[in-house]
Amino acid sequence: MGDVKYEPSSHKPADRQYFVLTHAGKPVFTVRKQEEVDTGSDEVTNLIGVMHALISVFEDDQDKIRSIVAPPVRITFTIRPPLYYVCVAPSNEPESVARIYLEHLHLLILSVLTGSQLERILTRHTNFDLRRLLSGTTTMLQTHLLHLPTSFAILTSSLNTLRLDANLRLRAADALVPPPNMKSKLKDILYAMVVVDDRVVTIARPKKHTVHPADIHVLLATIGSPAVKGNTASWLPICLPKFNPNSLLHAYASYLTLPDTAVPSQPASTRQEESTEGGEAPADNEEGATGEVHEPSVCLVIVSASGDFEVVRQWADVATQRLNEADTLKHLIKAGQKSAYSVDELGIPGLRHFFYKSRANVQVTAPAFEGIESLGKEGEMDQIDREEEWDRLLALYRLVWDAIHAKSGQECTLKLQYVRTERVSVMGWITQSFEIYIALSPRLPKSAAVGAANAVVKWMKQEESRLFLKDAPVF
Amino acid sequence: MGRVLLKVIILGDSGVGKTSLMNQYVNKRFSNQYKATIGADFLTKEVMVDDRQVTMQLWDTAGQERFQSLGVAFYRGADCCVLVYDVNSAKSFDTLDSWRDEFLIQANPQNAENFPFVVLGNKIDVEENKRQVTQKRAMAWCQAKGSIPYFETSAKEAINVEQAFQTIAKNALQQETDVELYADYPDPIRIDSPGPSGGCNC
Repeated sequence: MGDVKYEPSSHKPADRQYFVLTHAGKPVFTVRKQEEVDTGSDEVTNLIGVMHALISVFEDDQDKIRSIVAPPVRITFTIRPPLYYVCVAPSNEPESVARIYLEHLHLLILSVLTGSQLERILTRHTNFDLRRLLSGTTTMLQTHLLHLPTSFAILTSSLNTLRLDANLRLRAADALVPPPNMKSKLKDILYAMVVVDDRVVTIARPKKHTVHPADIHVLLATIGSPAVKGNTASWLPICLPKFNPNSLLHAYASYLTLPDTAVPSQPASTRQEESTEGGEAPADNEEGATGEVHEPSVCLVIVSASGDFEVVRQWADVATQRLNEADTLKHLIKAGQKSAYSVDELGIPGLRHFFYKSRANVQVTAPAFEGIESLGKEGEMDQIDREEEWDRLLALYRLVWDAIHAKSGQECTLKLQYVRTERVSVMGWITQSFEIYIALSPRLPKSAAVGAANAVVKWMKQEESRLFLKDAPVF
Repeated sequence: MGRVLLKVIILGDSGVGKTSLMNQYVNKRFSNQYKATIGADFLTKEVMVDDRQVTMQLWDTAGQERFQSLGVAFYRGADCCVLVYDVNSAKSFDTLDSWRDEFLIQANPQNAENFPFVVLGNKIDVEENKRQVTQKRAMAWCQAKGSIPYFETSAKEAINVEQAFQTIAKNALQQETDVELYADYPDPIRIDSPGPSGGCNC
């Protein structure tokens, strides 16, 4: 590693702390730094008391406290009566980012309680200890919050889509369209989707509904929670707040497995692009240095406004069966293994990483992070260095994203923003149809950055049908 | 799940010894950090109530004119309200009524009639001939307001303080858990039909 000390280093997810309290100042949920957790619960109670006092002083003046900047931290408040949300994050991180995370946390809590129930309980029983109703949810919230800083989809309010063959995506979509004889029974369906890990393969929906990315993120967090993940069938009451913050819907989640993985008797599947029957996935695209073959999880999710479980299950069975036809599921699993593509694939000199949002499709894509300075000394970089580098890059992305969108009170939005540090330069560029953020070797001149961005955009055009979900089925 | 947090508000005229009582009970140095700026401060103490460990958060008001009313946000969701007067000051006793009213208006508890108050007559260590409010009179008032528990205390001599706060904690916990008795949740799962324009364009 170089001997240059890079200054803003405190961007680790663990450095972010979250507090949720009721309007009476009762603790609801907290995520804290480990070393501070060890100092005992007395400290948390006191902190929450101070937070409540501060919020109350403003509230009694019909005002809202927004944030306190106290380097090295910024304390950001989001007031969503009857709940108050507080995030403690590095002060060099834009305020808008903490707001997005707090808003997301709010949506997750609504997804469990619904806005109307929350309101009703805390209006009637102002002193109610909400932890009683959230006790089964805290693990999900905690694990999910840790992943927030690495999610471009949540930052840019878009979907993270699985890269795969357009025909395969189409086959998955077809499997989700209800058969004609079931259609009348399924009038309460909001949408059905297939996801591989946390990436969307396809979403089928009735004409009248549109899909809000924030609701999908809530749904993904829910089905990804330890209590649900891997289960063959779960039937979950869930509120999708952007759809309707006050009503409970039902989500059927089914993690799919290949029918008979052990039986090699499938007559030579001719449809396969790479004939690796029974073999391992090609290792060339494996992310990280762990060397483990990633076993992707495929989940079928159906959201219904009706509580009629049987109807949904029957349809899910049909869809599952159709997903197994023509080895669709098998190919999806394979695509999941290869979904983390390498930036080298683009063949753009000096390009280290990027993320790209298709504004028309409201979807985002990014290659695997393979390091900034690792060129020429393959394998030398250990995992911790790599993670720190990744954290720093993410922090730069957030800065540039914030500047371009003028999210933190800047005077105007920007079309282009270029930031260079000793180790990396990051450029953000926004147009009508896309947003792109690229990380480059700092040795490249700025003009080359523009060229690289153009090259990525060109590649996007070529790869669009594989990278993004377009023309999702409507029924 | 963390420990239950009991929110206790301490009210009474300036100089009756609210802060001293809390200090005596909690036995920690008082910070006064927030009191100067926002008119309120709090102390926390871990207590055992009926074999349950709870955290009491005691909110102390400034008691001065300027901060007389703390506002809705502070009182909201209190589990117990402690009214303090000085047994050597008839005036501080007479204002208990308005402190009680003030609390009920601001906190607007769900079940105002049964909301737990505790009254403390403080400074009983002062010589007997200075006393202006008799125990009988105080108890009569408490009785009339719905059998409010009454304690005569001395923050200075640590008389009855522990007992008083134990009762406060107990009654607060009672109030806190009472919620369950007439609880209306978990909600039956409601299947509201979504509106025709559900979702939004993104």
